[in-house]
Amino acid sequence: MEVNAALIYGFASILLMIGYYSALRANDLIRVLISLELMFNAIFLALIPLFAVNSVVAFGVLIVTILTSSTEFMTLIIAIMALDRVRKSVRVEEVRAGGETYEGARSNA
Amino acid sequence: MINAYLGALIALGIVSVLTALGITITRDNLYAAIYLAITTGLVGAIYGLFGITYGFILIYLVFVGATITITIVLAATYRRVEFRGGAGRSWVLPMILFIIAIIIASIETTYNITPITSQSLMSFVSTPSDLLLIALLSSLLMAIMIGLIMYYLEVSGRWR
Repeated sequence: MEVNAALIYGFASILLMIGYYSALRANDLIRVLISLELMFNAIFLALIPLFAVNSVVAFGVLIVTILTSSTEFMTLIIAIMALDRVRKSVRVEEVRAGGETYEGARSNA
Repeated sequence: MINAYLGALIALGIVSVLTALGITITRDNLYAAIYLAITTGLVGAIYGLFGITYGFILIYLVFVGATITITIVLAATYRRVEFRGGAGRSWVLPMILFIIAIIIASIETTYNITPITSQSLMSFVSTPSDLLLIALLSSLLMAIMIGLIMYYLEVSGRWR
Protein backbone atom coordinates (compact mmCIF):
# COMPACT_ATOMS: atom_id res chain seq x y z
CA MET A 1 0.00 0.00 0.00
CA GLU A 2 3.02 2.30 -0.10
CA VAL A 3 3.63 4.68 -2.98
CA ASN A 4 6.90 6.42 -3.75
CA ALA A 5 6.55 10.19 -3.53
CA ALA A 6 8.42 10.54 -6.85
CA LEU A 7 5.30 9.41 -8.70
CA ILE A 8 3.19 12.21 -7.22
CA TYR A 9 5.94 14.81 -7.66
CA GLY A 10 6.29 13.69 -11.28
CA PHE A 11 2.60 14.10 -12.03
CA ALA A 12 2.56 17.45 -10.17
CA SER A 13 5.53 18.78 -12.16
CA ILE A 14 3.94 17.66 -15.45
CA LEU A 15 0.67 19.47 -14.56
CA LEU A 16 2.64 22.58 -13.50
CA MET A 17 4.59 22.69 -16.74
CA ILE A 18 1.44 22.17 -18.84
CA GLY A 19 -0.11 25.11 -16.94
CA TYR A 20 2.98 27.26 -17.57
CA TYR A 21 3.00 26.39 -21.26
CA SER A 22 -0.71 27.09 -21.63
CA ALA A 23 -0.30 30.47 -19.90
CA LEU A 24 2.71 31.34 -22.09
CA ARG A 25 0.84 30.51 -25.29
CA ALA A 26 -2.39 32.28 -24.29
CA ASN A 27 -3.69 35.38 -26.01
CA ASP A 28 -6.83 35.54 -23.93
CA LEU A 29 -7.16 36.46 -20.24
CA ILE A 30 -9.72 33.67 -19.74
CA ARG A 31 -7.16 31.13 -20.91
CA VAL A 32 -4.57 32.66 -18.56
CA LEU A 33 -7.05 32.25 -15.67
CA ILE A 34 -7.69 28.61 -16.61
CA SER A 35 -3.92 28.00 -16.78
CA LEU A 36 -3.46 29.52 -13.32
CA GLU A 37 -6.11 27.20 -11.91
CA LEU A 38 -4.29 24.27 -13.53
CA MET A 39 -1.08 25.38 -11.81
CA PHE A 40 -2.90 25.35 -8.47
CA ASN A 41 -4.00 21.77 -9.21
CA ALA A 42 -0.31 20.88 -9.38
CA ILE A 43 0.22 22.59 -6.02
CA PHE A 44 -2.61 20.56 -4.47
CA LEU A 45 -1.06 17.38 -5.84
CA ALA A 46 2.38 18.29 -4.48
CA LEU A 47 0.82 18.79 -1.03
CA ILE A 48 -0.16 15.09 -0.71
CA PRO A 49 3.28 13.85 0.48
CA LEU A 50 3.15 16.42 3.29
CA PHE A 51 0.18 14.52 4.73
CA ALA A 52 2.46 11.55 5.37
CA VAL A 53 4.83 13.72 7.44
CA ASN A 54 2.38 15.69 9.56
CA SER A 55 -1.24 15.39 8.57
CA VAL A 56 -2.52 18.17 10.85
CA VAL A 57 -0.05 20.74 9.53
CA ALA A 58 -0.68 19.57 5.96
CA PHE A 59 -4.41 19.98 6.46
CA GLY A 60 -3.90 23.54 7.72
CA VAL A 61 -1.71 24.34 4.71
CA LEU A 62 -4.34 22.82 2.40
CA ILE A 63 -7.14 24.94 3.90
CA VAL A 64 -5.09 28.13 3.61
CA THR A 65 -4.09 27.23 0.03
CA ILE A 66 -7.63 26.45 -1.13
CA LEU A 67 -9.25 29.52 0.45
CA THR A 68 -6.55 31.96 -0.68
CA SER A 69 -6.49 30.52 -4.20
CA SER A 70 -10.29 30.76 -4.41
CA THR A 71 -10.13 34.40 -3.29
CA GLU A 72 -7.38 35.06 -5.81
CA PHE A 73 -9.38 33.57 -8.66
CA MET A 74 -12.50 35.51 -7.70
CA THR A 75 -10.38 38.69 -7.74
CA LEU A 76 -9.05 37.80 -11.18
CA ILE A 77 -12.55 37.02 -12.50
CA ILE A 78 -13.84 40.40 -11.31
CA ALA A 79 -10.73 42.09 -12.74
CA ILE A 80 -11.35 40.45 -16.12
CA MET A 81 -15.02 41.52 -16.07
CA ALA A 82 -14.03 45.09 -15.08
CA LEU A 83 -11.39 45.16 -17.84
CA ASP A 84 -13.99 44.02 -20.35
CA ARG A 85 -16.30 46.81 -19.17
CA VAL A 86 -13.60 49.44 -19.64
CA ARG A 87 -11.65 48.18 -22.66
CA LYS A 88 -14.35 46.05 -24.37
CA SER A 89 -11.83 43.24 -24.75
CA VAL A 90 -10.22 40.43 -22.76
CA ARG A 91 -7.12 40.05 -24.89
CA VAL A 92 -3.76 39.96 -23.14
CA GLU A 93 -2.50 42.89 -25.23
CA GLU A 94 -5.16 45.13 -23.68
CA VAL A 95 -3.55 44.91 -20.23
CA ARG A 96 -1.22 47.90 -19.94
CA ALA A 97 0.21 49.81 -17.00
CA GLY A 98 -0.66 53.46 -16.51
CA GLY A 99 -3.90 53.58 -18.45
CA GLU A 100 -2.65 56.08 -21.02
CA THR A 101 -4.38 54.17 -23.81
CA TYR A 102 -7.56 54.03 -21.75
CA GLU A 103 -7.82 57.82 -21.70
CA GLY A 104 -7.42 57.89 -25.46
CA ALA A 105 -10.01 55.18 -25.96
CA ARG A 106 -12.49 57.00 -23.73
CA SER A 107 -12.04 60.30 -25.57
CA ASN A 108 -12.67 58.52 -28.87
CA ALA A 109 -15.87 56.94 -27.60
CA MET B 1 3.76 -6.54 -10.01
CA ILE B 2 1.70 -3.38 -9.66
CA ASN B 3 -0.93 -3.63 -6.98
CA ALA B 4 -4.43 -2.22 -7.46
CA TYR B 5 -3.71 0.81 -5.30
CA LEU B 6 -0.66 1.91 -7.27
CA GLY B 7 -2.46 1.14 -10.54
CA ALA B 8 -5.38 3.39 -9.54
CA LEU B 9 -2.96 6.21 -8.70
CA ILE B 10 -1.12 5.86 -12.02
CA ALA B 11 -4.41 5.72 -13.95
CA LEU B 12 -5.76 8.83 -12.20
CA GLY B 13 -2.49 10.68 -12.78
CA ILE B 14 -2.26 9.77 -16.47
CA VAL B 15 -5.89 10.74 -17.15
CA SER B 16 -5.41 14.04 -15.30
CA VAL B 17 -2.31 14.80 -17.39
CA LEU B 18 -4.24 13.94 -20.57
CA THR B 19 -7.12 16.25 -19.64
CA ALA B 20 -4.58 18.96 -18.74
CA LEU B 21 -3.10 18.54 -22.22
CA GLY B 22 -6.65 19.03 -23.53
CA ILE B 23 -6.66 22.50 -21.94
CA THR B 24 -3.59 23.42 -23.99
CA ILE B 25 -4.72 21.75 -27.20
CA THR B 26 -8.33 22.94 -27.44
CA ARG B 27 -8.94 26.34 -29.01
CA ASP B 28 -12.31 26.94 -27.36
CA ASN B 29 -12.32 28.52 -23.88
CA LEU B 30 -15.45 26.64 -22.78
CA TYR B 31 -13.95 23.23 -23.51
CA ALA B 32 -10.73 24.31 -21.80
CA ALA B 33 -12.71 25.18 -18.65
CA ILE B 34 -14.53 21.84 -18.77
CA TYR B 35 -11.20 20.00 -19.16
CA LEU B 36 -9.97 21.99 -16.15
CA ALA B 37 -12.96 20.82 -14.09
CA ILE B 38 -12.20 17.20 -15.03
CA THR B 39 -8.51 17.62 -14.13
CA THR B 40 -9.36 19.15 -10.76
CA GLY B 41 -11.88 16.40 -10.08
CA LEU B 42 -9.21 13.79 -10.78
CA VAL B 43 -6.75 15.55 -8.44
CA GLY B 44 -9.50 15.49 -5.80
CA ALA B 45 -9.96 11.78 -6.53
CA ILE B 46 -6.24 11.21 -5.77
CA TYR B 47 -6.87 12.88 -2.39
CA GLY B 48 -9.76 10.46 -1.88
CA LEU B 49 -7.51 7.55 -2.88
CA PHE B 50 -5.06 8.46 -0.11
CA GLY B 51 -7.86 8.67 2.44
CA ILE B 52 -7.62 12.47 2.84
CA THR B 53 -11.38 12.92 3.03
CA TYR B 54 -11.31 16.54 4.18
CA GLY B 55 -9.04 17.54 1.31
CA PHE B 56 -11.28 15.70 -1.12
CA ILE B 57 -14.37 17.52 0.21
CA LEU B 58 -12.64 20.92 0.26
CA ILE B 59 -11.39 20.58 -3.32
CA TYR B 60 -14.77 19.46 -4.60
CA LEU B 61 -16.82 21.94 -2.55
CA VAL B 62 -14.74 25.11 -2.77
CA PHE B 63 -12.57 24.65 -5.84
CA VAL B 64 -14.66 22.60 -8.28
CA GLY B 65 -18.04 23.60 -6.88
CA ALA B 66 -17.50 27.35 -6.63
CA THR B 67 -14.39 28.66 -8.36
CA ILE B 68 -14.26 26.44 -11.44
CA THR B 69 -18.04 26.63 -11.93
CA ILE B 70 -17.74 30.42 -12.17
CA THR B 71 -14.76 29.99 -14.50
CA ILE B 72 -16.87 27.75 -16.77
CA VAL B 73 -19.64 30.38 -16.79
CA LEU B 74 -17.06 33.09 -17.57
CA ALA B 75 -15.53 30.96 -20.34
CA ALA B 76 -19.00 30.36 -21.78
CA THR B 77 -19.66 34.11 -21.70
CA TYR B 78 -16.39 34.96 -23.44
CA ARG B 79 -16.49 31.89 -25.65
CA ARG B 80 -14.34 32.33 -28.71
CA VAL B 81 -11.86 30.47 -30.83
CA GLU B 82 -8.52 31.61 -29.57
CA PHE B 83 -5.74 32.56 -31.90
CA ARG B 84 -2.46 31.35 -30.52
CA GLY B 85 0.39 33.71 -29.82
CA GLY B 86 2.66 34.48 -26.94
CA ALA B 87 5.81 32.45 -26.38
CA GLY B 88 7.17 30.09 -28.99
CA ARG B 89 7.02 26.31 -28.90
CA SER B 90 10.69 26.07 -28.03
CA TRP B 91 9.67 26.59 -24.38
CA VAL B 92 8.59 22.94 -24.32
CA LEU B 93 12.23 21.81 -24.07
CA PRO B 94 13.14 23.47 -20.71
CA MET B 95 9.79 22.35 -19.33
CA ILE B 96 10.48 18.72 -20.24
CA LEU B 97 13.95 19.08 -18.68
CA PHE B 98 12.34 20.43 -15.50
CA ILE B 99 9.96 17.45 -15.31
CA ILE B 100 12.84 15.00 -15.82
CA ALA B 101 14.91 16.81 -13.16
CA ILE B 102 12.07 16.65 -10.63
CA ILE B 103 11.51 12.93 -11.25
CA ILE B 104 15.23 12.11 -11.06
CA ALA B 105 15.67 14.21 -7.92
CA SER B 106 12.75 12.61 -6.14
CA ILE B 107 13.08 9.01 -7.35
CA GLU B 108 16.29 8.50 -5.39
CA THR B 109 14.46 9.14 -2.16
CA THR B 110 13.00 6.22 -0.32
CA TYR B 111 10.18 8.43 0.89
CA ASN B 112 6.95 6.48 0.74
CA ILE B 113 3.40 7.62 1.29
CA THR B 114 0.78 5.52 2.93
CA PRO B 115 -2.94 6.28 3.02
CA ILE B 116 -3.90 8.11 6.18
CA THR B 117 -7.00 7.70 8.23
CA SER B 118 -9.56 10.43 8.76
CA GLN B 119 -9.20 10.09 12.53
CA SER B 120 -5.79 11.74 12.40
CA LEU B 121 -7.39 14.84 10.91
CA MET B 122 -10.14 15.03 13.51
CA SER B 123 -7.72 16.70 15.94
CA PHE B 124 -7.41 19.64 13.54
CA VAL B 125 -11.13 20.32 13.38
CA SER B 126 -11.60 19.86 17.11
CA THR B 127 -8.98 22.46 18.09
CA PRO B 128 -10.51 25.92 18.80
CA SER B 129 -7.55 27.84 17.34
CA ASP B 130 -7.76 25.89 14.09
CA LEU B 131 -11.50 26.44 13.91
CA LEU B 132 -10.76 30.15 14.43
CA LEU B 133 -8.33 29.97 11.48
CA ILE B 134 -11.03 28.53 9.24
CA ALA B 135 -13.56 31.14 10.45
CA LEU B 136 -11.10 34.00 9.84
CA LEU B 137 -10.19 32.76 6.38
CA SER B 138 -13.87 32.38 5.47
CA SER B 139 -14.53 35.92 6.77
CA LEU B 140 -11.60 37.20 4.69
CA LEU B 141 -13.04 35.44 1.64
CA MET B 142 -16.46 37.02 2.19
CA ALA B 143 -15.01 40.49 2.88
CA ILE B 144 -12.97 40.36 -0.33
CA MET B 145 -16.03 39.14 -2.26
CA ILE B 146 -18.09 42.11 -1.01
CA GLY B 147 -15.25 44.48 -1.90
CA LEU B 148 -14.98 42.97 -5.37
CA ILE B 149 -18.72 43.28 -5.98
CA MET B 150 -18.56 46.95 -4.92
CA TYR B 151 -15.56 47.48 -7.21
CA TYR B 152 -17.34 45.90 -10.16
CA LEU B 153 -20.43 48.04 -9.54
CA GLU B 154 -18.17 51.10 -9.38
CA VAL B 155 -16.51 50.22 -12.69
CA SER B 156 -19.78 49.40 -14.43
CA GLY B 157 -21.29 52.70 -13.25
CA ARG B 158 -24.10 51.25 -11.18
CA TRP B 159 -22.59 52.21 -7.79
CA ARG B 160 -23.35 55.75 -6.70
